[in-house]
Amino acid sequence: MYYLILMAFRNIRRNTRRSLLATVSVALAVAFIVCMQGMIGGSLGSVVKNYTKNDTGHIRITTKAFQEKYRFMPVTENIVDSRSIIAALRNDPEIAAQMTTITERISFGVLLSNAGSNKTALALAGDPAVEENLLMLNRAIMPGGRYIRNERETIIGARIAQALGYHLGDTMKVMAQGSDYALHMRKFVIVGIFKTGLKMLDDAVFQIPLADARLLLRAGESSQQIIIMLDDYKRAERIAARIDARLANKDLAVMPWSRIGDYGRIITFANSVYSIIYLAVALLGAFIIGNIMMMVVLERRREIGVLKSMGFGRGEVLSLFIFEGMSLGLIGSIFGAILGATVSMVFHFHGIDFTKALSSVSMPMDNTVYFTISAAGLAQAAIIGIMVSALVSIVPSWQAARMNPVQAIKSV
Amino acid sequence: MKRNCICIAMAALGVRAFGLTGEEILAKMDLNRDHATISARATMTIHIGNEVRTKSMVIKGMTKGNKSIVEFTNPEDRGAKYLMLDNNLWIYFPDEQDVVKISGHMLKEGMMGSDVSYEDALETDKLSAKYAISLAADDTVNGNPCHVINLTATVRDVPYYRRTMWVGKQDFIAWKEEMYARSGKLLKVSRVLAARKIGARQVPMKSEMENKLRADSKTTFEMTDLIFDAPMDEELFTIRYLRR
Repeated sequence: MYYLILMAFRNIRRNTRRSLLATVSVALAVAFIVCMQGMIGGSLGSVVKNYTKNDTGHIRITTKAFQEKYRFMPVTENIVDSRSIIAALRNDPEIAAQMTTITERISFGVLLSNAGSNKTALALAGDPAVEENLLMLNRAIMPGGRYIRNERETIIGARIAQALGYHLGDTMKVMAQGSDYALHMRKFVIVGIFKTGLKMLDDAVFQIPLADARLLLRAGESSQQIIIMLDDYKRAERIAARIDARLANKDLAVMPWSRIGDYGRIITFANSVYSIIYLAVALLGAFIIGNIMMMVVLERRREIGVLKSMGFGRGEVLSLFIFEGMSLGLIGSIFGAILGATVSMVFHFHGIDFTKALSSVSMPMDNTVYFTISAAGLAQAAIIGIMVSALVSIVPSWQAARMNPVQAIKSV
Repeated sequence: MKRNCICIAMAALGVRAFGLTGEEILAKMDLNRDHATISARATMTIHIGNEVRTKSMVIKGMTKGNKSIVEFTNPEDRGAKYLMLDNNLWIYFPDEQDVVKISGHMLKEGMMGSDVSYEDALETDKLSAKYAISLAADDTVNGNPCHVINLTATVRDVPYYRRTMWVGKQDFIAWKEEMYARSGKLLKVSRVLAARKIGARQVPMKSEMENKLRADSKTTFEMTDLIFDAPMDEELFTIRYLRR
């Protein structure tokens, strides 16, 4: 087998121009795949990051009744004993080692009114100290404002403030239907206005302390959600199952982020679709190798006849030509991976600004996308390039293998 | 000739005796509600699943200007007040010492979480002004023989597109009412559980409302100490009084 590989590498040097054409084609395809992986990885990674920290956490614990009506954000289906659940999870060494944050939240919809204007908004209520590192809205507060320090204080999105004519220091009346189904109202002072660049936050969200939300909603000590953040979000499914087994409470729903709402399914689906796209791009790039191998087999009919008359079996001839195709693919893939990694590295540090494109889109995606690069991604792209090159070489190699040696030698 | 006259007379009598029009039935219902002022104590019991919440209140109303004020007296809501002036509603929140005007879709919310919406409470216009009325076959509710009238909205500004009322033939109380959306979906059912004659009026003293959009939920409303036409200071029905 080793001698066949050596022969293959020698043979591709016999027509350097043709071999160069083939390797460049594969290199461009692989480079394109690496760049696409980087951009898609950066985009989807940003969606996962924002979606989990702003909405679902890596794992979310709620009542099953809440999970069924999740889209309506009900405040009537709360976890009554949330503190004991948090304590139980912190006391479990295996679970505690995986968690970076565990906290309580209540989210509910309201209709804000001011000066004759109305706007629907989403209240996010949590422990302000914890949310500094989770929601991180404090990092986007515009000059002149500050983060929440006391009860009855709120920070609101810049677009909400603009739509309703709110300014720093204004009092905002928040009216909502409570856990007792009755309407309640509580006043908050606007201490900060944030501008994250994410439309779905700036246009719709305001943050209040959890204690205030509980008073407003007559929720007692209950919480609507327990949010858990992990070291590695990819472990969410496994750890959620572990937590579910630990709590063993049939009224609770312990959900990893990938199974909450639509984004998890969208991201999984998107990854599958992009894998198919990568394959298609690689096929297009390697298609030229198939053409070249067809030409090579026709040109070297006599040589094939001589090899066979010297004792080369069908398998050896088949392997030789496949190795030649794979060699072209290997060289092209290596160069393509290097080229793609170089381009991705540039955009990894500088990013691409999609602010204008995303200005009317409500998605939890950062406006600037930073490409991602990984050794696994580069290896994946290179392997796709090599395997596809081998694939397109099969037909011409099979034709070479099936040739009758006498007929092949006679051919001119 | 004489026989013809008798037949015609009997036919005419028959129409008057058995053939009240829908408008006439509604007019007789309105007579039960004819008063200058009303004051009462009331208890609203809200059943949602296994939960039961009780709200007690004092109600005062004045027909002139369609005004009413409700002040809650149960411990959890003590001091909360609702002021209804014509079709406008203001709520006083004692914890915030502030008044908010409720409008738009918020009026469809249940009062204090009950099955009775603010819209239901605000409805004071004569139904004949907003609905086309037709009679259906007579029926019986809890042993009370009833006219059955169907109401279909002729204007957009109504809480329920279609309503069916079972109105007692003797007392002209709506012993049962079904309220429907335009799609035909049943939204609410109200029933009068007990009534009393006060002066010339037949007054529902205890009633029940079911919100069919909310599972396992009903609200009963019971009045006591009901007084009609007592003198009342109009100052009671102002936002200024609401804040006191």
